[in-house]
Amino acid sequence: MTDRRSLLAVTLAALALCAGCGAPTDDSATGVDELSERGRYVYRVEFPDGGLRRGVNAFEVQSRAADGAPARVTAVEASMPAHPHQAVSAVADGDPSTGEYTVRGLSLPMGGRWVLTLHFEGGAASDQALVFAEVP
Amino acid sequence: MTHDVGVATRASVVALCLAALAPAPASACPCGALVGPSAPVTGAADRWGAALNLSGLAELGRWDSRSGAQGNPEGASAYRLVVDAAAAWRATPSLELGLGVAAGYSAVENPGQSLTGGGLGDSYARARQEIGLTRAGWVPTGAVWAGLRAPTASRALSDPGLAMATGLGLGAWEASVGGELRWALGARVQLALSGEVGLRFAGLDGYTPGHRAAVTVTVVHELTQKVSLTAGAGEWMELGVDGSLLRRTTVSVGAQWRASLDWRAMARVDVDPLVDGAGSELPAVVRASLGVAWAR
Repeated sequence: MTDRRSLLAVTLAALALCAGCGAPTDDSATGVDELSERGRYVYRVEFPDGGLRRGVNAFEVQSRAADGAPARVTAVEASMPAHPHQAVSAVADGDPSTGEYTVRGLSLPMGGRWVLTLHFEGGAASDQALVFAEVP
Repeated sequence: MTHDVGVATRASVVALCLAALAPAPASACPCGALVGPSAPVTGAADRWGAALNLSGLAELGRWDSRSGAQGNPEGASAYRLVVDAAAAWRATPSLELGLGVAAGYSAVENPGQSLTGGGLGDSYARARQEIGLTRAGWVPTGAVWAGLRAPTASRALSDPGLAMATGLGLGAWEASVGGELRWALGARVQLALSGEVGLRFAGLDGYTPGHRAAVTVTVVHELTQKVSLTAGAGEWMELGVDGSLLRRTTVSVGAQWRASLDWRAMARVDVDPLVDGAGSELPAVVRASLGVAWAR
């Protein structure tokens, strides 16, 4: 059995390498300022105590353009990077003048690695940010 | 039908015993997956066959990306009820052609969330060829098979919440090939090793699941002429959409009762042991199944 498992492990490692396994493993920090993908917006995510969980979630997002102008959170999507499931979306309500938004109704029906995609719009151009979370 | 029922029948009996433990074809999604179609429905002396299987599944927990085992959080649960139906035609004593389809119902409970729904699952066609019907010493008998799974699952099961719990809809086509080797360890004990790979393509919603592979080892004990017991273990592996490796280990026990020449009944339990290292990024489930099969 040990030999079989060893052979299996080697085979699987080779498969993973061939597939270009490059999944991020670290959760994104919360409660600290981060830059969006193209650097156009600064955002901060505040998850509830205990982090995200299975079920329906809500959390806070603060955002502003890199030049300090107000920014809007226009959409939030969630998907599991390892599973072939459709993305689920949630509604973001907030005040564009302050950039403070509450994301409500984020449905995470399964535990595991999730990626949240936050979409921003402001004065110039849109941008997005990826937030990684391990949901127990 | 008057096939040569000598050695062929003996091999067929073993194959049908393995069928009592062979993974059910319904679960395609890795979240609820076992293995794809590999078990025969008919014996070598049969012409036609049909099988019906009812399974209840409960989620025990999951493995994280570091293979750590975690029980379900408080207030979270997922249950499924699955019906598998299969029909087969034995074109020759060693070649079986079959069709199958599944249907199911899922209930997912999470804090602040309740998801229920059901419908038709994926369907498949397959061909299974028995090989090496005579054996001597440690020369094994065996079988090879090829299958094609069609994404016929109802759209209700594509709801993100339900899709994660039903395991009925892959959302893509899958072509699979597999093989099995069987050795006699004694007059009434057989050992079988099997493997299968599945290639997924043409995803329906912009997602195509990663390819998969599975290996199993099974021991069959023919307790009497009518009753057989099986025990086994298997490993399911699948590449995630992002190239990560999803896997789970499953241990199984089963029994088969041959009620008559035409009818048999099967029962089995599959458990994914929720311990560190036995899986990665998949739920662990326990599955109990009852089935009945007819062949003539």
